[in-house]
Amino acid sequence: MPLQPWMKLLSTDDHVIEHPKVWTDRLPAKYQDLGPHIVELDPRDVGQINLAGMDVQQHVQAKPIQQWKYEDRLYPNIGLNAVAGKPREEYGFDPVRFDEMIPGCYDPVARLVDMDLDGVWGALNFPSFARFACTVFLDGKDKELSLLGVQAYNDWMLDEWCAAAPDRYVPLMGLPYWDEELCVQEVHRTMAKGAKAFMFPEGPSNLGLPSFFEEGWDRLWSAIEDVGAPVAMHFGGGGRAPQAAPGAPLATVITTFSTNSMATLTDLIFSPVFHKHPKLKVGLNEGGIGWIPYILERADYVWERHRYYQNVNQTIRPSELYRKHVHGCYIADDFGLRDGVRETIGIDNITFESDYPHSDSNWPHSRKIAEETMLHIPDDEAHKIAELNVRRLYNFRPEEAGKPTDPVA
Amino acid sequence: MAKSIDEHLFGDDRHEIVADDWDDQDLLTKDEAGQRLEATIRATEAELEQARVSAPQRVPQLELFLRRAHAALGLYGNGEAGETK
Repeated sequence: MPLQPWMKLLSTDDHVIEHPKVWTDRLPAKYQDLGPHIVELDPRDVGQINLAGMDVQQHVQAKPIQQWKYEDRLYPNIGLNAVAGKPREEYGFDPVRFDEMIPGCYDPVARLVDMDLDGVWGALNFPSFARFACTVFLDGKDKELSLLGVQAYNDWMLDEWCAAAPDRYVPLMGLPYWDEELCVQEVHRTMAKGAKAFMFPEGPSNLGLPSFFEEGWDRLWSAIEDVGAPVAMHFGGGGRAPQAAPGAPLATVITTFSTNSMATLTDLIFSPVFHKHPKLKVGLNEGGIGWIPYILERADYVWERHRYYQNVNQTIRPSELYRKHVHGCYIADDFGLRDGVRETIGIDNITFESDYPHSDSNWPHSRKIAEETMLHIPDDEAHKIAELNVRRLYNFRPEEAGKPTDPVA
Repeated sequence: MAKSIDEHLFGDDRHEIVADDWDDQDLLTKDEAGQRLEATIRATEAELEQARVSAPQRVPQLELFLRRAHAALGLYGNGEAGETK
């Protein structure tokens, strides 16, 4: 069995649901009513709220619905705002109250129970209400509150969530993207408290921010490469979904989710970012890996023929930049793990993800399925993919890596 | 000339910030998690019975898994946990 029992399985993409007091516990008194807090609404009234197509009237129930309120805006789902615009029959029943969720969503100790059951030792967790790159604070009209909101999320992640099991949770931070200087300050503030990685939207221009090709991020990239932490770009964190044709089933969008990561990778390897920041590392979270060899081959092909008349680097092939700077992750990607394919992706560039607590995850069978999908992979490669790459890329307690002599729980 | 972040954020060409992330992956609900756990417990109990006969070295590991699975199943019955934070 190539994934040996002593190897610790680390996930580079799980999610937290922020509990109701994440911000009210941390914001000053003047922002208690304006900062993110949970409000309870009569389900018969929520039809008056713009729910972007959700037929909530069909969802009438005895208990009030809980929603986040931030400034004067209501955010219609406390878990994931996953279902906007979808026909009811095309999505599962999303919890509308915290007491409908499994506790592992919002309780770091309960999460450990679920991780133990799943055979997953450690995890990097992305937000839910705050969005996958903590970009909800871009919505804020009061930017002092926005900054405090980002800092409160980060402090909660560091002081409450990760503190529950510092050897098992990798602290992932949001940034105040509307102000680069504030971003740099937040990098240093949180690194001093133990941060290990920083979120960034995969398509910043979709959010009105400078793209990877424009001025506006160099001081941030320099700060992040100086502290040696990776940047984590979760698909969907850039605020734009793949476009489906009119009338197409949702399946077409789900199938093409990873094209967001393809576009992000292509942007990055044709941009000046890695040329100007040779130590910067980027993770493409939840995008899968099987597509990477194709897009690298295509990028190099285009670079060979079309670089001469364009503002792209003339000496370094895009695939070289990928290999040095970018890593991906997979839940289930048999093609990406095939002999010959994973070497093209790079054994050092592959990490595992569980995606708990999304229903897309294989919980409570993540480890079993990881074992099955790695049966043909040599032990040393399996160890890198399951654990060592995360330890190295995220500088996450490398001295605690699993060893053959470790007792197996 | 490149635009500053302020110009990007507040200029006329500012894109509409979407209200929500678009990820479609619904949360694992208590019901779904419970169903997955119950199925897993049934399968593991059958595996344990076989292991007692044919692979006794696996018994402690399977018993530990079953204890954890039952504990998790019990945890999902605590419906008020989220309100006491």
